[in-house]
Amino acid sequence: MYDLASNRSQTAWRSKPVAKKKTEILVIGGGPAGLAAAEAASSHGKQVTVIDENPAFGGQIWRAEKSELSEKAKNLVEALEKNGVEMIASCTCVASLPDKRILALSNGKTFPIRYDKVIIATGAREQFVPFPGWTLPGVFGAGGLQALVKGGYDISGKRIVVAGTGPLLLAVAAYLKKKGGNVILIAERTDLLSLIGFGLSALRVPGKWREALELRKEIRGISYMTSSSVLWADGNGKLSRVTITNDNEESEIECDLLAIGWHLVPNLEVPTLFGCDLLACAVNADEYMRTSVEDVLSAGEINFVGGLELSLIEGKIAGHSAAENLEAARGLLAKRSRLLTFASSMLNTFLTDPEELRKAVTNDTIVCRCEDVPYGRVKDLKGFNEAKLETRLGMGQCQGRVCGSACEVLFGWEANSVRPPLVPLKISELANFETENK
Amino acid sequence: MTYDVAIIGAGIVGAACADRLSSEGLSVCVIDGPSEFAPATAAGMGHIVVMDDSDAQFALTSYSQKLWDEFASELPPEAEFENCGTLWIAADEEEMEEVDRKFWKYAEIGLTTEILDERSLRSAEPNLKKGLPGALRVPGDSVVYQPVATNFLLARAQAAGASISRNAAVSLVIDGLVETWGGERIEAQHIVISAGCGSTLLPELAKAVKPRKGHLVITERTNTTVNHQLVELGYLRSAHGTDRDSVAFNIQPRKTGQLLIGSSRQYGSDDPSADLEIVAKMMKRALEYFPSAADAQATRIWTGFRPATPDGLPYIGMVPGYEKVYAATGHEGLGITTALGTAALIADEILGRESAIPREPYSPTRIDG
Amino acid sequence: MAEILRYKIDGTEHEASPGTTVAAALLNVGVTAFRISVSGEPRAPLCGMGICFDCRVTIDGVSNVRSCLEPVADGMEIETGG
Ligand SMILES: Cc1cc2nc3c(=O)[nH]c(=O)nc-3n(C[C@H](O)[C@H](O)[C@H](O)COP(=O)(O)OP(=O)(O)OC[C@H]3O[C@@H](n4cnc5c(N)ncnc54)[C@H](O)[C@@H]3O)c2cc1C
Ligand SMILES: Cc1cc2nc3c(=O)[nH]c(=O)nc-3n(C[C@H](O)[C@H](O)[C@H](O)COP(=O)(O)OP(=O)(O)OC[C@H]3O[C@@H](n4cnc5c(N)ncnc54)[C@H](O)[C@@H]3O)c2cc1C
Ligand code: FES
Repeated sequence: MYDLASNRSQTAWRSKPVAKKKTEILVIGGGPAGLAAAEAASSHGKQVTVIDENPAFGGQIWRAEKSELSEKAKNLVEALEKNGVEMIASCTCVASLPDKRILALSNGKTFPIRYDKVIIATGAREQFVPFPGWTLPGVFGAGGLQALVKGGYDISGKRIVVAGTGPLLLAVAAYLKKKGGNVILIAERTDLLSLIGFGLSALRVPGKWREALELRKEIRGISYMTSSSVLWADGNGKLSRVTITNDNEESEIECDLLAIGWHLVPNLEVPTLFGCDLLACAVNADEYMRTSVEDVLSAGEINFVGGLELSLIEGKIAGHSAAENLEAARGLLAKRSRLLTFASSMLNTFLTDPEELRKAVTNDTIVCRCEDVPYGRVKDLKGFNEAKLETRLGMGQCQGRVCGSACEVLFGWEANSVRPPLVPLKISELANFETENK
Repeated sequence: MTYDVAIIGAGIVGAACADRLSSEGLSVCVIDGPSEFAPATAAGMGHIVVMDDSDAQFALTSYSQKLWDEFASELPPEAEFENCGTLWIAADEEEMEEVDRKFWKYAEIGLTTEILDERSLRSAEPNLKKGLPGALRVPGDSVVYQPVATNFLLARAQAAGASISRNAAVSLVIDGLVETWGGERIEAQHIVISAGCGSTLLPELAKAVKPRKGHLVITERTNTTVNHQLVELGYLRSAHGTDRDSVAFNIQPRKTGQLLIGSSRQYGSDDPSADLEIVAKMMKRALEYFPSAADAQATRIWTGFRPATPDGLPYIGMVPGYEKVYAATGHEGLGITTALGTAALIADEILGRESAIPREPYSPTRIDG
Repeated sequence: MAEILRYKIDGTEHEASPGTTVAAALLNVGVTAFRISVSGEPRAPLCGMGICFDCRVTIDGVSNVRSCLEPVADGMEIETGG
């Protein structure tokens, strides 16, 4: 059998998955927030370890393209390594252990890492909302398709519909077009008036208008519809057609791929395992990024989905604060609060009425993709827990990461079904835990 | 209005009581609310098993098992009732003597079991470790997906006229009256306390009912064949010990092809989070008996608290010092099995009838003794 | 490091360039059923970032590997349809 481990160490862009078993400051997640936190913490001479479950650092926005890190992320990662920060890619935090330890998983093996302080920076993911046909191969999250293309998926010539809502759609469409995709339509749910309002508020932010202009240029030639959404997707074993509505008129569009983007929702699995207080579906951290649990901090999009700048500044604050240098952190508080105010003001533009979303769903639309539980089986139940127990919804491999937030949108249920291990682990690995730990 | 019966707690025991009493034509009100401990019923394993730690336990479990068999045909398919039987597995020749003893004991009450030697054990369960000396097969035991069974019982009670209040935690019970934290007062002739670990709302029960933590691990769907619920005979030792943490091999085949693996017992912990050190001990134990589970992937680990009593028997019946307040609690690791028997005994007592088995061994009168 | 990685999907040999994730490689050769769902439907990647587990395959005998998080390696053996 081929040895996965040895390939890893040969592969230059993937650092060796051998962790020290002890560190002063442990950072979980190496996106912008985690990297900024590591930089700030190590600037005070602290011993810092960063783990990330992706094979490369950079998180969502700085995601590597076929192993090549973006310039910004590369510089940052190199600087961190030079400063002695331990960088472990392909390493997932799967559980929180007593005595300030986590259980990490790398190359199929688990091992504990002990810390004095931990900074959680696990970022956000795309929210998915079920509709008929969304389980067909060929239907992707918008950011998901972008990530796959960055991972080497060749979309040249593929007919692509980009749909959903939010500013991410334009960025994704532009990217897919640049990569040779034949983007035939962008269908934005929100109506034109709200969009204009959004555009105006975005213009108040320096730099944003330039970004917007660039984007407009890049997506020139792609048809763009507002008040438009996907009703269902069809195909035999894979996607071949979507039916969309535009101002109450339905039409069918032949396509190979559908990239559908909603909002982003924080990845709360890790902070939940640590027992951190949550508020409004995000981690409830104070301005120094301290959570309700002692020595556990959080930064970036798990605190608030507010974009790159906010994540970076939160990362820095968390890094200083974990290094117990509140003075350095204090200097950044005003800037953070400005960014937060701006990000909050943009929130409402793209909110969609749950009633509208439910309309598209039929009784046999799958809600839980792991256990294939359809809408009809859960719609009359009283809550996520009851649905879990009655139908096994949320109890499959993804542990409710997809259907949990779908149920929040469709039914207003609070989905709190996080249990260790965060990813499936072999029984033999669970059995080893004790000895590994000695 | 004054109900005939108010039932506190809608776990499987409360649900079975509600179903039974309302089918007898009594007016029933079920009051359920959150307590310090999550409901045991949602966490349990659903093994319907005859156990003979004591004669009283033997009587209640075998009576209940019969009731489950009658009930099975009425359950919806999602309850996944399956009469797969239990194998009590001996680890060595000494434990084979225990297999013998159990065989005769079960025979006394007319329960047919079968002694498997090394070869027949291997053909019954090819994935067990080679070289195990044998096992006792108890063909009458079953498994059920108890959350669905519980909801089914509640729905049937409701259809027979029972009223069910959710999110109404009870703060006070006195003769004839139940009060909730929300200030709601419910009058009833008879009051049944089936609140699991939350039954401590009567000081008499608070003394005696203690939470006993357990862990379970479930795997993804596998192709590994398991035909029976497999339990090590040493389980009896584990279930008996009262103060030390213990683990025992216990594996349950689910209809989905998933393996549900137990089990652990810990006193003195009220922390619901999974303790991976105990889980590691459990998994080691499981692999000693069932090495083919090594590569199966665990998708979920959870814990639950069993309402345990000092002598290992539940409290079923009128609580001394009260008038018509009944306990139906303290079922520890057997509450799914014995819920139906418990409900029958409670109904008999309320209606002033004889029961199919003597009620006296379960009476809460023994609490102080 | 090899310029071209050779790996197998369900026994058939394929090539990919370094840095390609297993998910991307499978999509590039037209695989649609990464896994078969509980009710028998084909499933393929949705989220591209380790969240949905719909891209899971067996790699070198290890099941449940999220192919979107795993780079192709020379000699890898991938099984789909699990
Ligand atoms: C699909 C998508 C597209 C986006 N596009 C844009 C855009 O165009 N413009 C913009 O301004 N913002 C965009 N964002 C928002 C962007 O995520 C933030 O601006 C910024 O990247 C957030 O940084 P972060 O460090 O908080 O999180 P992330 O960048 O998400 O980083 C979190 C990291 O944590 C790791 N991780 C998660 N769980 C674990 C675990 N259990 N163990 C170990 N590691 C773990 C992940 O692998 C990831 O690398 C996008 C977000 C998403 C999800
Ligand atoms: C890991 C594990 C494995 C098990 N395996 C098995 C098995 O294989 N076979 C078997 O037979 N048994 C098994 N059991 C035991 C079984 O689960 C329990 O004995 C049984 O579920 C107890 O049911 P109950 O209705 O008494 O309690 P619960 O299910 O706990 O229900 C009590 C209800 O009362 C509510 N409540 C509490 N306080 C109040 C209050 N003040 N006011 C209103 N409502 C209140 C609670 O919220 C709850 O809903 C297992 C248990 C565990 C933990
Ligand atoms: S595509 Fe969702 S986990 Fe890989």
